[in-house]
Amino acid sequence: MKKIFLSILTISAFAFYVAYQRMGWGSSTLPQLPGQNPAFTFPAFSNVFGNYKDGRYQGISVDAYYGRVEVLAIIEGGRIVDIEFLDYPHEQPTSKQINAEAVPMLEIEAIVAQSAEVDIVSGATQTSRAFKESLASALAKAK
Amino acid sequence: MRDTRILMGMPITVEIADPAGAQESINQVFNYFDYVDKKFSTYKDNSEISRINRYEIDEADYTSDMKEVLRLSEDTKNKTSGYFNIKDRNGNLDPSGLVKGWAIHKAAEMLFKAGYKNFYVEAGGDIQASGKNNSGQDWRVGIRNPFNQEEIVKVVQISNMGVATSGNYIRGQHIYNPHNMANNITEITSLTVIGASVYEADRFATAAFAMGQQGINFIENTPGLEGYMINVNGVATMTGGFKKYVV
Repeated sequence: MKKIFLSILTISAFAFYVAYQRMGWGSSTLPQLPGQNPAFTFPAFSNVFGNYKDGRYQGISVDAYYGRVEVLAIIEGGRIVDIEFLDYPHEQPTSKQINAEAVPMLEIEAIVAQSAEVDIVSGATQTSRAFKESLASALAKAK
Repeated sequence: MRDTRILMGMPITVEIADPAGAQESINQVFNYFDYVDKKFSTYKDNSEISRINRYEIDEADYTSDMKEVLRLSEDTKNKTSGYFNIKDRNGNLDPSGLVKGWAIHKAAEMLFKAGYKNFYVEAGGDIQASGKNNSGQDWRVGIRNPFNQEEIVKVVQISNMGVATSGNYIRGQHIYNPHNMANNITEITSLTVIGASVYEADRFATAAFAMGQQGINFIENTPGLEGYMINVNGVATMTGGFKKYVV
């Protein structure tokens, strides 16, 4: 009897877990981050934007391992309106062959440019240290 | 209603598709990212993280946001066999690999709590999308071609989900393998992860990218995540469930 009860309990718990996992976000709420503080208060701000002097400011050239990164920050109306790359590491040809790992679910394809309309683009943008460092130095001049 | 600002050294875009979308709400999101930047930027001398790295603050006095980010960073490190590590080459703490996704998640939550249902928040190519776009469809997200920033190579449709891409488009190598600091990651160039929250997608994309070509296996084996990895030869590997999002 005890075993049956335990089995039912285990199956129920598993079913609940699966249902919980599949529910994802649902439409009612965003998920809570672990340990999220529900009493999060929004900080007060003043003069957040418009701190920079107008002009074009060149950042320092920074080593990005594969080459150097150097940016130009363009400030108009006190705000950054554009960041141009004066220098960035160029593609290096490589002959390294990549083997597909033996995971049966994985699928492989050659990438092909798409022409479909999209709302948003996901990609690793210029968040590299070198970029930030060069930009920070450019903005320091704009203060 | 849509607006873009450059904050934290990257473009941040907020779009609200609800008819009642207000510029004030979008501004609040930008202000929040600015607040996050001032607290977590290792490039600002007066940020809390910079002061912590100079041992100017006792651990007991860290702000609750800082404690949360450091705790989540530790959690991520444990869940990724140490591939996610906020200690940099000099031993300083740099939680930027976690903060972006965390901040997008929080920003999306702010909009949700403000009553919005249909919107996205995108920062530096990482996205949290809620509800539907202006056409009443799931949001259409393009994955950027790592070899040509003007192109996209895949389109996925998502709703109430997050997307994050780790990579090295400009060969900046902002991610390195903490288990082998001498060697930068060369064999893969872009790894996109889809998950319920951009926070999850971002932190695991960062860690999986650091694993090199094994990273896609890690994503495949992590429940709730799907991934699309592009190697240096322009060959993509996708997880088994990724296709259900592909347009």
